[in-house]
Amino acid sequence: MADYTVSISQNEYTAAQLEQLHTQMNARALRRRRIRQTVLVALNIVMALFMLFPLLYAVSVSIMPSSELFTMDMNLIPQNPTFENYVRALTQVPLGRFILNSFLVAGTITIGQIITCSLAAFAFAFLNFKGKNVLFMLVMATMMVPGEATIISNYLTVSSLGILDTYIVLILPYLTSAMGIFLFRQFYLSFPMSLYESAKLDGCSNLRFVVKILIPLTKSAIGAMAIYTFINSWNMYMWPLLVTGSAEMRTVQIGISMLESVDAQSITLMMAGVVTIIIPSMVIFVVGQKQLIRGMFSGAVKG
Amino acid sequence: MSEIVLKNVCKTYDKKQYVVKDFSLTIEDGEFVIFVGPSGCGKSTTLRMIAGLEDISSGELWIDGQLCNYVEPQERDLSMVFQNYALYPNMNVYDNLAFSLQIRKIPKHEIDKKVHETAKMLGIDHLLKRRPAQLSGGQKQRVAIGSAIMRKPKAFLMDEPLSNLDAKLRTQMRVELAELHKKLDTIMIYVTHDQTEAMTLGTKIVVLNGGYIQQVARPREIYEDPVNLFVAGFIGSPTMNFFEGTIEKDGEHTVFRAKNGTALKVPAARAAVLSGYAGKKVVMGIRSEDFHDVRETGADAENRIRGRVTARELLGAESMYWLENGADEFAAKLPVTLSERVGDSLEVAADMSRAHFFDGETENNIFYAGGQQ
Amino acid sequence: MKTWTEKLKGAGAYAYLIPCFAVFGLFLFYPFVKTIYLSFYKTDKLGQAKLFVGAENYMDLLTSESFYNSIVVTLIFVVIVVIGSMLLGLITAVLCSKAFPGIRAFSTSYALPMAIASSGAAMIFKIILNPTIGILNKLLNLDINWISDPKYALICVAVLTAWLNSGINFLYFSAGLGNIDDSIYERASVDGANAVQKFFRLTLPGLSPIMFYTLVVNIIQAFQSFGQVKILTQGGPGESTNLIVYSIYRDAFFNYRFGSAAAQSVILFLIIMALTLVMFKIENKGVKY
Repeated sequence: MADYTVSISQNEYTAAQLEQLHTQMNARALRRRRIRQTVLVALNIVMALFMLFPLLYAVSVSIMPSSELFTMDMNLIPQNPTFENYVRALTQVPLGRFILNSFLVAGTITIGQIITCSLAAFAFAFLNFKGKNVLFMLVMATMMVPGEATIISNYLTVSSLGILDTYIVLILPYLTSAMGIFLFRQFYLSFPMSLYESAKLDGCSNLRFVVKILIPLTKSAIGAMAIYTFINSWNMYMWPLLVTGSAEMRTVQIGISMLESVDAQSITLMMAGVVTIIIPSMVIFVVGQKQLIRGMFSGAVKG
Repeated sequence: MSEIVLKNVCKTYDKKQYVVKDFSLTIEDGEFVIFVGPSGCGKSTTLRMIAGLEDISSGELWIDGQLCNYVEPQERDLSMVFQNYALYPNMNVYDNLAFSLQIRKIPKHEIDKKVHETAKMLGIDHLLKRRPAQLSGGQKQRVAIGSAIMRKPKAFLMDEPLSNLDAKLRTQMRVELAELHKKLDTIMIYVTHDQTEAMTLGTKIVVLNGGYIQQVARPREIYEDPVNLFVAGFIGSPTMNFFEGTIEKDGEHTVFRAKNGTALKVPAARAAVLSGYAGKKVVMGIRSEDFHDVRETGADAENRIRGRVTARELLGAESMYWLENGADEFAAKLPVTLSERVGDSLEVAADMSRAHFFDGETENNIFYAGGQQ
Repeated sequence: MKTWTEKLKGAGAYAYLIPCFAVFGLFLFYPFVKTIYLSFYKTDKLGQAKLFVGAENYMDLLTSESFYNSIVVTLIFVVIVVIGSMLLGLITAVLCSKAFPGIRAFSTSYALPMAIASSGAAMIFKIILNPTIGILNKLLNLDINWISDPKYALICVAVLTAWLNSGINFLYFSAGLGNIDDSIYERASVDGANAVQKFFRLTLPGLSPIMFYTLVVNIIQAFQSFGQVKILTQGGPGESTNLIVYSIYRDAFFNYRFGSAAAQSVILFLIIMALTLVMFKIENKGVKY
């Protein structure tokens, strides 16, 4: 309490003294609050710069003429920014085609997962059937199997089916997800059984109930799931690497490595390509972040 | 010997609207002070300002002669029980109790002794190893109180501590709190919106409304001599019956005429003052227990008011009759032996010596004595 | 009659499970069993099981120095990644736990790494870590060949992975911090606790339920890192970054030793399953709240 040296004791002060004390202390409190706020913002700026550094640097390199990159001098920020790298990246490799492929694959996987997971979650949440618990446990157990543990056999399966290097092979294995089933089921369980029963009494069929009632009610979970799935599919690497051979079928993550191998001078080009393919997933993430958090944390973690 | 003095304490967030305005109060050692009022009246804010959890916008807070406006809550040496108990969920009951001593680096064996003492006193000594999530509401409440009384602070602050308990537990805890206060003999400041709690616990009641102190008095005084219409209506259950009407001269008597035309004679001692209100709007207040059965011996033969029974509640030895006469609704506490049922007409005698009169404009109690009765 | 309709209705329920179990069956259950099966065989270049060898694939692995190296490297990698990504997530979440102007932009930045692909990130790091033109050497005024020096390569891949995984940890920890009731901080203030005491006695323990969950998710995720190794180091220099998943990939698709790769897959699965079970066991022993 030594801090408060301006103390005065009760019944022994003048109005002026008191006034002075208030002004002094209020100013001090205000100053302290400002300092605290400034420190907090400053810490955040430092941390954010640190966390975003790789991305910012990638953007910086992507608009750098390659002559500027190959120097021993400090070159954080380009002196003569240019978009030429982007133009060349788009023309040198079929980046447009890769992006189209990725959108097609990620989009289909997202929609497919939402459909299959909603249907399965509906059955697990509202219907009674033999083996329900066992089947649900089986679904949950799949979360423990790392994709890498099955990828070899999967590769052998699809190559024996003769569907290598097609959209189907990129999409099919990812058309359902245990996490999605779990998330939706968790949401559905928060609705009373009477919701289903009264719909049944009104003559609503099961499928109609899912489409007309459950899906509209679980928009936030679907939104979260859609964003999460889309980003993950967009970023998929190992599977497309194994099953695509031709340039026309490559997804963005595999496609950009084509930029890498052209020649040593193409680093700036490669960065332009990397930035180009990060942008879609980043935009979707930034736009959907709120939805993602609400959907994931209100249902799954708390429930 | 502690003393807490609040002087013109105000709380405002935008310098225009005041949550608390000109709150002045002296709390002496050993007092059990209740801040009571409807939600949003500023009672919790005031308590939080005393605790240091909210800044004081203007005015001074003195604790033991020391200006505490700018003292951090850690340094004020108070303890507080929160409405939601605020138990530390990751600690067991023992650690919850011990926390405030542990951070003061008090020797372990002393803490241990004190924890067991306190737990025993509150009957929670068998729960020491449990976590808050494994406790019932009443047990949590006891732990919260226990943690508050582990130290001997300058004052105990309690923010609606019983509002999350069921009715039966609430009554029981009320009794225990009163006993605890006697034992501890330290200032307690207790916030509640429940006037029953205020009346049964407090040695001093501060009634607040809209950020302003309405009245500071002992419970009996507040009940018998409310300063204004708000306090009269807020304190007491059921609410005091209010009749709007006018003061008239009826022969040599001064009467209060209710809206339905009933004339009630004003006691002689009050006639002179009330004559001055002739022609003005006056509100008469009378509590349900000041109505009597007309057949009762000594019941007032002249001052009677009639109504139709709209509801009847059995209270045990008595019944509460809810009456309605087209202009006013009122409640009367009458003997259980009465045979009138819902829908019947019933005449009751009003004890006019116990009636209150409020100025219709200012809503102030015309005969407010302010403790000088 | 009634039992018939009942049965029919019951059968209808399975129809809703068909799409998801068809996919699971074809691409999860079947390959899972097939992998175990393959792990007992020597295969030809097309992955056809040719010769039953019993546990030989496993015995070979367990006596192979290269495989031991993989396990050790993977464990070191997982430890660095998990500690790094959880620390980053915790620090950023704490920095964003109190409102201040611009908090939304900052929290988006902290969560952003979760939207970034391991392959893209690896390419960016490749430039940053480049010994001659890379910005890291320039900034630190060093002359280290980060990726081709066995001393640093693993750390580089681990730091990259920690960064990638920190985004989701930020979200988990932010949610955890949001779940801590504000009034316990107020009570602690009145009780006399200072900021440091509040952090260590309330905030950190208050995060422990989500901390556990985050830990499990992080460990599993770290074990599965692949793209960054493939692009940044290809398992090298030497075998210093030859993580199990990369080793599986290399054995199967470069050496065409599908049997051995399958055996490694099974071992990877067993490690992850054991870790998950052990951790849930630990959690069940602890008192929940």
